[in-house]
Amino acid sequence: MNTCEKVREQLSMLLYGELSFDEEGAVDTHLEGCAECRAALEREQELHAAFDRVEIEPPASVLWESRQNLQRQIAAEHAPVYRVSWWDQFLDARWLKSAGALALLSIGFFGARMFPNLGLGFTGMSLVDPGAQRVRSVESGPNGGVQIVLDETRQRVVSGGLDDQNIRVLLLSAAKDPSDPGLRYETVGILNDRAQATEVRDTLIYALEHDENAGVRLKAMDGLKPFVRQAEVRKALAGVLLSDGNPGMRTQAIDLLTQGVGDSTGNTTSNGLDRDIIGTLQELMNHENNAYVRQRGERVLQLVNASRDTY
Amino acid sequence: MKLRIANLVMATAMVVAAQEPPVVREGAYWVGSIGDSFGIAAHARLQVNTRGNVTVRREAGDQVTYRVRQRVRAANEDQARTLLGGGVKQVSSARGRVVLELQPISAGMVKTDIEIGVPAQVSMVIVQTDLGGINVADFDGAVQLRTGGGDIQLGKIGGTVQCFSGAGEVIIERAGGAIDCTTAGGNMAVRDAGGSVALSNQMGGNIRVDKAAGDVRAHSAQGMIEVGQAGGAVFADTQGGFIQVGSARGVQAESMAGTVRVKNDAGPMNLAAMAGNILAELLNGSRMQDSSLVAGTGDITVLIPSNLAVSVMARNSTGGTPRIVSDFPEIRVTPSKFFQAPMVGQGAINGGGPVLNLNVSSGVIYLRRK
Repeated sequence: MNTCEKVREQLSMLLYGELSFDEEGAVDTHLEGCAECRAALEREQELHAAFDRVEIEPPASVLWESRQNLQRQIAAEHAPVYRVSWWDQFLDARWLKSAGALALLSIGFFGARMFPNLGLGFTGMSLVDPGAQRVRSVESGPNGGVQIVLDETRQRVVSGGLDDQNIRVLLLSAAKDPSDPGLRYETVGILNDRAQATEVRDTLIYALEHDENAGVRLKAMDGLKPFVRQAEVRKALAGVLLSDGNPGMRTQAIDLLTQGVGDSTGNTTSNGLDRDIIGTLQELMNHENNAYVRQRGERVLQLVNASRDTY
Repeated sequence: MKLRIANLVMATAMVVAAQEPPVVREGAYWVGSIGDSFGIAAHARLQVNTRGNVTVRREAGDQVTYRVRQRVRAANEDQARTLLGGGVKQVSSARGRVVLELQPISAGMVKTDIEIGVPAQVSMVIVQTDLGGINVADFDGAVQLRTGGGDIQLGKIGGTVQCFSGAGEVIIERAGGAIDCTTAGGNMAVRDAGGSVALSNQMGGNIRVDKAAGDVRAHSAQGMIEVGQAGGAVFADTQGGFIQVGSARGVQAESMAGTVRVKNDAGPMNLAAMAGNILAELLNGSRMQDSSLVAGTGDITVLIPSNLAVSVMARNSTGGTPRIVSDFPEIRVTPSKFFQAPMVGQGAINGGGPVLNLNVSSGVIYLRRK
């Protein structure tokens, strides 16, 4: 491949700002001495301009989501394919689970309504049985007796160290309990001390990205601070920066993502400010309305000699 | 007379025209730095209007000192000077308030840090920065702080504290007087307050007050609220998250989703949890007043000292088999009939006293002896 062909292949990437600084310099040098390639660049620019004229308003996170989708599709192409039989599909059908759950619920509800006082010895004043009980089924016995199946929810105290696998499994589950943000907050607080473990860190990242409660998300971010140089943590923080509605979250996220950038040594690359983060900051500039976050983003982009805009 | 008033209105005014600060190379950066000092009268208030991160520290003597340090990456000194852009500094004084204007007109990518040295004779420091964090380590007087965005961190403040951040954390180690702070979003924490505390979190974040001598008012759009010890009453509300009060003289707390846990010394309790449990502990010798605890979906548990005189009215509207579980034989429970909620429990413990109203829509009521 001669130089012109190589340069023309890179023209699109040049216009998208995706070339490295060295590559960009080499292309610029070639363009100065090659009229044909300059003409090719102009044609490419006209094409981009035509696209720009029909520009739509994409959601703020579209670039990030596109990258994620690309990664998933690449992974899927390399994944082995398994044949699934019709019987497996039938057993795996979600309607079966739903129908089963509905049946159980109905039995419990009508059982409790129809037989509120079955003479089983528990009353409203009972101190013996603090657990919740529901009649699941009743059956007549041979001698006039009755056989009753009860569903019981009982409290049980489980104790152990954080290194105990059972305790850890319970904590990881509690961290995603949708019903009680207080429980999730306290669980995340405990897990923060064990964030060096991958499964714990994954749970904290999940909370950071998906928990509906800002207090829980902030707590999860506390636990992830020591791991801010890890790729998956940076990715999650980038997602927060682009899509979290709480300006306090975005402030913390950009502080963490850009910490060390612009320190007294001026060393920005050792901080691991990769292309994805630069892309995230450029995307952020399109829609960020918090002045502080915006200013931090602008400053960092300038420090790494990146454009403010995305192309 | 007119002259005297004019003197009061503007005792001194000094405008320093924009001047080019020296720019030096530090590593990969060009750094411009200016600084100066000026005298200030005893008990005066100092106001600083600026843009950038502000640090306030205590200064010996009777002079206010300031230093503006700006840093930028640039190809050469000329470009650095262009980016730094100079700025305006101005000191004016009126009615005991000295205003220091430090307005850099530099490009947005320039990092600006402002350091203010304040002598002990200044009674109040007011800082208004468009953008950037504010840090006051140690100051005997009062502070009023406002930033468009950035963290606010305060060490030992002798007087009252008022602060606002457009986005960021608010952390206060100690304040001798009342605290009134708001942030658009971010955590808020107060270790020790000599007066009342009012903290508001507009878009979400956790609030923690370890100790306050007066009332505590805490509002979070979304997040946990923890109050360790309040000398006065606690008023707390959150749209999502638990509320926990270690001790207080009266509590009003509302959580849309989350547990409410309260220990009350005295005064009324008005607690509501739409989706979450309520756990209320009455302390030994407490002088409680009429109280109301309401849980939508969740249990109510009240821990009552053996010797406390209180009248209880409990209603459980749970469908099916509602339950009221009591350690006290004085509480008479009327079971609900078929499809007829609620179950009612009432009685006078130790002869009766202030009324404790308990209401549950879906859950269990527990009255426990402590």
